Amino acid sequence: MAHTKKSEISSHTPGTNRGEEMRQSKGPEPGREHGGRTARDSTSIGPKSKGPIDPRMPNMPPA
Amino acid sequence: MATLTEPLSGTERKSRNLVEMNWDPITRIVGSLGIFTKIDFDNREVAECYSTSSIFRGYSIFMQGKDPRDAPFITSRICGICGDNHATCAVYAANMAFGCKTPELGEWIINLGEAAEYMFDHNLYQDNLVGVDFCEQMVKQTNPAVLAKAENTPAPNADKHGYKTIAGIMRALNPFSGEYYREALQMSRLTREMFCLMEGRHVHPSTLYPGGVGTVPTIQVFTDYLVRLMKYVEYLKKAVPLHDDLFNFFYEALPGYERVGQRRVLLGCWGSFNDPAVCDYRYENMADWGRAMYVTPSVVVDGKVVTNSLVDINLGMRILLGSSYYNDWESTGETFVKTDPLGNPLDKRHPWNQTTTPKPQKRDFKGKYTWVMSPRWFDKNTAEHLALDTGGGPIARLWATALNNLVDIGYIQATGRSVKINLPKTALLPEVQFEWNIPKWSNAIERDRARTYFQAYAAAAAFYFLEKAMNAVREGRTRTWADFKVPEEAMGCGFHEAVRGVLSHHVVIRDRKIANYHPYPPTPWNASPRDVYGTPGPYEDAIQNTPIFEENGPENFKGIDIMRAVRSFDPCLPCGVHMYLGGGKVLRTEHSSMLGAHS
Amino acid sequence: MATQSLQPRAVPKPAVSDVHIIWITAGLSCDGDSVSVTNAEQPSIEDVVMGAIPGLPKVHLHNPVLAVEVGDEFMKYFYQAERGELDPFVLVVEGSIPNERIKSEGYWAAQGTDPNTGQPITTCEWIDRLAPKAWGVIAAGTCATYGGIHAMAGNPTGCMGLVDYLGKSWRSAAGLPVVNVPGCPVQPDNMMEAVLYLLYQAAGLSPMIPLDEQLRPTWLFGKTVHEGCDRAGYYEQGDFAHEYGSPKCLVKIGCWGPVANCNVTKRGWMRGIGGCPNVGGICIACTMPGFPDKFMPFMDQPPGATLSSLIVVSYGSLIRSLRSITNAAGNKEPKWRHRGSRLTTGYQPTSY
Repeated sequence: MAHTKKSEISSHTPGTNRGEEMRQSKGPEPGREHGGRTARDSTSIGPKSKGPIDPRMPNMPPA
Repeated sequence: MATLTEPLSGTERKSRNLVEMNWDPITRIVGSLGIFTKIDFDNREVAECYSTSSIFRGYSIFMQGKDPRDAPFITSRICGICGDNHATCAVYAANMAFGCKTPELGEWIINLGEAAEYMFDHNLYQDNLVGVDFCEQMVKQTNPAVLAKAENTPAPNADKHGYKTIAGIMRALNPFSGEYYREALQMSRLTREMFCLMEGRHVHPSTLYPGGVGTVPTIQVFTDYLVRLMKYVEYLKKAVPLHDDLFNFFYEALPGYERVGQRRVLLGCWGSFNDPAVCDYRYENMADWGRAMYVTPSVVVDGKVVTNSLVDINLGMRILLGSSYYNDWESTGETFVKTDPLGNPLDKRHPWNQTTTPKPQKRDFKGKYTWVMSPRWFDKNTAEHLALDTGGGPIARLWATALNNLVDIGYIQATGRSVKINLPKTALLPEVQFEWNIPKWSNAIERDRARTYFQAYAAAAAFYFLEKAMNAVREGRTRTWADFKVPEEAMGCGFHEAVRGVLSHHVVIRDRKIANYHPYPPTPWNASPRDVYGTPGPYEDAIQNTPIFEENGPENFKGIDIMRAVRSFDPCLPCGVHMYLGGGKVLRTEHSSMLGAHS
Repeated sequence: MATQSLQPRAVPKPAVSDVHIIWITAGLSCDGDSVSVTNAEQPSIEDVVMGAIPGLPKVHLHNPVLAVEVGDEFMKYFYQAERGELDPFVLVVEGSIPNERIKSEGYWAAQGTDPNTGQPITTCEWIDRLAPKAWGVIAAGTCATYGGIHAMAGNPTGCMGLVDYLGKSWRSAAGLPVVNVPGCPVQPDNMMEAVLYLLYQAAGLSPMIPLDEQLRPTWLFGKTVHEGCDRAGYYEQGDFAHEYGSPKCLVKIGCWGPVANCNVTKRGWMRGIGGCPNVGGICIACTMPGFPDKFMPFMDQPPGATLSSLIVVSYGSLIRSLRSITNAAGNKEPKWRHRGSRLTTGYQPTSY
């Protein structure tokens, strides 16, 4: 393929999500709305009771 | 086959008996390399050297038309031991092209992963590959008198590494049976665990993306890394003195050994480890964030820093041909970009404008003999195209960082003439400081010595990165990746240090696809052949004029001094260079310097 | 009866005493599979070479990355194998096999020099010389198995996998098909386990190595990434990542796990550490014959994932609320654990 030839190979299937634009198009994930991570980032099963109980404690959900 | 010639009147040297000796393939490197030499056994030196490459894959060709987001995944596959260095550099180039910036914690994670890569790769290469050139088994075959001396030479740092004599160290380096050989192999796995914690898998990472990383940052992942780092640091406290003892012994036992693999100090270092507080991936600010890196970039000529600006470094890059299997593009190829983002004009021979057109053909040492091109750095002060080398990576990094006197993170301090490396207390051993001093020569022994010191440098840097990362987690600054939109048209470049030295990626994007992509790893610089101006590449001129200390004659010749010289550069040749040990054909020719004689 | 002497269980002698491994890295290769092999621990390369596994023949490894010998000294094993002096030997091929026929001269990949012509000997020539004589042949890594990265659309070398080169019906001297161990690079323990299996087979201790239709060892590649992934629970609950760095299922941002055959999520990359989607790296299906073209661009959502994730989102949402209720109940201790003076466990004491 000559270097100046316009490429015919598709680099994207129209209609599918581009992974890097997911956050822009679908918004942040629950649990990641404000930059950091809350318990909801790691679990959807009763997340409210899985977070820290004291405001002095940082949010440290699991991987 | 012999050729007899009459010496020219006025020639300075007598006619020389030159024996053709070739080593193909060179083993205990990565990739395929061949070296073709002519040895003057009477004067015990290498008269001529050609390095050749026997594999071509075509990344710059098949990446055209592909999605630029795939570049880190694809370019990682350029190299099977340091692929992650490519993936990282591709991320840097993509960030610039896409206009995004890896968030702080993502940058610390990349730094930790790359530090682990240096710790792993230098360890494996030094003690499982290079080490065999210094092991008892090898020295017995090449220099029995040296081995005998080593048996009676006490190791100055025996109290630190446990080997009473130098011969004890050499025995421990014997492949498979040597205790230190096996320990090094195990340490190379421990360090790869550290790597996997940050970058997912080795060698081709899974968690690196344009915009940052997908690693989930938890105290757990950093603690897992830290615990392993402590074990490695404990091992380094014996590794550094062990190698100092071994290398100093060679100078002592074989006076003149400093000439093995020696060449003029012409070093390139493109910098490593971004500081997220300074690095915004904008070309306009690249000189500043380059200087803020935790390994300082520079071109170093004859012991002086010519520049530490990544913009200047970028503008000086030239890709020359001369001995390589390609058609030239200077007059026929497209100019992809006329200027850099600051408006500086770009040469047709700059990687942004290179067009790669392979022309496979027969190998001819008087003409074209290799797949490797000839990257050079154009010094605008002297109008020379400099054949920079990286010395295998560590020596250039330490030399540049020392001279620039910018890095100071407590664990590492540059002083202007040295680098101090402070390792903390480990379970059994107290705090230790290692100081790497700028050596007198750019030669095989100093390149090898620097490698073990750089393992300590990377470990020390990792402590700093861990502190920063864990703080970020505790303070809730946990984003590791920034989203972006791929632009229609863009250009970007990334500068990084692969394990073996300078690494750059240049990308031009058109129509949201890759229009041009040219990666320049360290080995094309080091293994480059004679260019169109006749300047030989670094391997070629470091090996030429290398004296022979091996005690064998042509019949049993192993070329161990040549092997040590070649391997000191840590050749990584997934694009290969060829060293040739031929059948000992004798040529009698008049003395002629081969430097610059052929194009 | 006083003491009985303990008879050591006899370890059967292997059917052959020595096996040579001739390893060609000179395909279009990055050498990543050889480097990966130095990373293996189950078993490690030194375990195998030093005889730490009982019942195996003595193994002689000839791999350029680790070899002591250099140049002609190293190449002599290749010539010996060709002459039948190293029987039995296993040939390992690493790197894509170039197509040397598409041009008029020169070479894409070569190793060693032909003493008659002074020109390099192509890798294809070495395969032609050695494969027919080998007891068994392993294609190590996706480049050698299926062509891989260097064989993507638009490549200049026309390269391919070893089976494309030799033909699917090709059989070794001992009647084995090529053993394909894909992976980019090959997962360290996957490779060493496959090598170990073949050594047992050469020793007469195991039957023919079981291979699937793509000639992969069935016990290593018979599951999908998704079936082994510890994030599959998020998928089932309809909880998907919108960005990289999330701990949730990555299928909407590029992961091909549901349709890729690979065990890395299940066994980790090494020592149970690392991997791909299980640690935040989208699966790019690097073990598959269609890699990379059928899976690029890697960061796009795989077309099939849109439908399946749509369905699972509504199911998942319901299931999550039900599970939350049960989880809340399970997070409370039974009421009878208290300091009160009345025992309320259900036991009716009569004596106190």
